[in-house]
Amino acid sequence: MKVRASLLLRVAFGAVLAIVAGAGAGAQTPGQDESNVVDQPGYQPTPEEEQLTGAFEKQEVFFRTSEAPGTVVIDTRSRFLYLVQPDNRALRYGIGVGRDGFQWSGLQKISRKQEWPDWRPPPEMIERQPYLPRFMAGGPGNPLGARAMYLGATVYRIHGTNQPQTIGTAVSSGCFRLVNEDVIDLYGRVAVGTKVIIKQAVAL
Amino acid sequence: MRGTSVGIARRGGALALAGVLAAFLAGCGETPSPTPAIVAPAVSADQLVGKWGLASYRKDEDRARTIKEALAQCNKPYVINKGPSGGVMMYLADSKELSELVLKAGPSGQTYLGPPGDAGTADDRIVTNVDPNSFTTIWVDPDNASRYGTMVYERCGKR
Repeated sequence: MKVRASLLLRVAFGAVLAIVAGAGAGAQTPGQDESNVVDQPGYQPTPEEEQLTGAFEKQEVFFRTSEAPGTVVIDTRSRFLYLVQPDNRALRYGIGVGRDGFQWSGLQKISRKQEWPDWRPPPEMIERQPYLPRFMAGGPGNPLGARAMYLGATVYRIHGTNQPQTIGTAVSSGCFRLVNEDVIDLYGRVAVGTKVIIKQAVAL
Repeated sequence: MRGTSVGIARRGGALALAGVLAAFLAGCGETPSPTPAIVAPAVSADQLVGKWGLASYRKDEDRARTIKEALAQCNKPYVINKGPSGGVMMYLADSKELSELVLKAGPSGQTYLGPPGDAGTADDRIVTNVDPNSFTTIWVDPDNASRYGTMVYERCGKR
């Protein structure tokens, strides 16, 4: 309980940092690495915490599109990632997206895939949390989670997270995060070269 | 009579005290174990002063590449200065404020780095693999150890 309480304190502290950092977000350049705000490096969520419920739980949905099956469509406003299936269907995953000023749209392809990616906190995070290692080898507790899929030549990624509570929220610097179980599932379904469409909103 | 009874009482008290002493001595019949000698830590504060690339890992197979990555992080060095009391100025886990930490010898020969006091407390870290250009730390607190893993410090600008 003591450990849990201390973690909650840290989350609360991180949220305060996020608000403070968010106030100056407009002055920053979108495209910086993920994890500017509420990261809890090393924190390993419980299986219960990683279990999503309701709309953000992975599910097959009706999805009318002219895009070919296998295409990834990201709806940043609704916080959903769709993997197009045949017959107007799609697999829908709940995601976390970029906070205000860090959302973007465009057409990309998955340029690289990585299991258990390493994490390098951005310089501004090191300034705020100078005790952090400047490099954290991939593994459980890593803020980038279990898998990463890089988007074209950008610094953006679709990746996992050790903070399942951020699914459905806008907290990142432009990357898209899924819970580890979902990102592992998606990783297994898409290949390098997969088309990824990022939209502010998707008309179904 | 009164004086006699007091004398008997005194003698009885003396006997009782002797009995307690005898029992105590009997129970401690073996040679008392010596007070553990205070051993100087194997690492000096001066060895830790400098600018370091800092990286962490959890799996032993990641150690070699983590050391390389630590060196690559010297553009964001972790700076360790000497403290006013002879220790080193470093951050405790999750603390943004520098604290003066000292090196402490543990009973099993390990070297600890932490606030002044007993070795091996929750705020301490174990220091290993020390050479002029590198050292490794592992947090004593299991929560810290789990979150931060094993941390390697590689000197920026090797000696």
